[in-house]
Amino acid sequence: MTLNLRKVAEVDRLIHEPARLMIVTILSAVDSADFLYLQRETELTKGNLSSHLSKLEAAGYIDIQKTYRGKIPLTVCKLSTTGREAFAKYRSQLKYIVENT
Amino acid sequence: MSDELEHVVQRTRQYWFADGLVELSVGGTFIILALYFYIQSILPSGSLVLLAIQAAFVFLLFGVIFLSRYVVNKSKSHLTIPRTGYVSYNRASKKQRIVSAGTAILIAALNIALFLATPLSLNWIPAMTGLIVGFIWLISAFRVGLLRFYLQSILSLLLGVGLSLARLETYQSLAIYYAVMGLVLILSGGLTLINYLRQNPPLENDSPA
Repeated sequence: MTLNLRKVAEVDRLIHEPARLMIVTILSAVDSADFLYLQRETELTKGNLSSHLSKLEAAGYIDIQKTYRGKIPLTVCKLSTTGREAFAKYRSQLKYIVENT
Repeated sequence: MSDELEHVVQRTRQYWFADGLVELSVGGTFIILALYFYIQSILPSGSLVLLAIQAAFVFLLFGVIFLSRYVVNKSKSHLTIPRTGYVSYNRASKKQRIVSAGTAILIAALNIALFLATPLSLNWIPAMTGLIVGFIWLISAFRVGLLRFYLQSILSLLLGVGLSLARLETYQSLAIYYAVMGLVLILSGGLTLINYLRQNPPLENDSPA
């Protein structure tokens, strides 16, 4: 396997999935966002979004907290330190691949 | 793909302004400032009331800012969050806050030095105000990529310079500046809010999975 192909194979597949990439990108730009905002921005169904969030949470990339803002219940998602580092690594890997192909 | 990711990030930054509430609150603040300068322009020079109002300016400004933030947050809780969700933005880093505070102090010091050095330069207070407010708006426009912010920035600059060239009394000029900008922001924010509410009707009471 050539070096470039190996770089492609090493890309974080958990983040590389399009829906999860959208989720992680949105969360990287903010401190936190709730389920409703993520659902509207990604245009995923509730079940689909929940499934992707669960996978990211299981990998330690995001923290999910059920809380309240006044009387409004919120499911708030936040990119963890591990998640931010993984996303930064993913972006640099992608940049390397794009610049060298 | 990098452009698409940047577009996603920019949309997220724009979300804070999607409902027009921030512009409405800033517009309201500007109207209050317009009233403040108008009152100063009609009171006799050297009067006790005028001195008291001038001394209270800082308290007035901070009071209005805190009230605006409270109103915006409360309004978002009732209008925006139930419709399109909640986003919490990253706080500025310590370095960014120091740079912002330092820049504000430097601008204030330069202004004071300029106006003390040449009394005639009091005519240019509206232009300086327009420039500073316009610059702040331009930075916001660049960061979130909203066309209306660019237009408001240009308007601020042109209005400030125009009022300085008109050589009206300083307080009158400032009252006009803040009144016009306030009305423009209220109009812009109001239209944005109406558009937002039309496009995002209240959701049925349905908790997320």
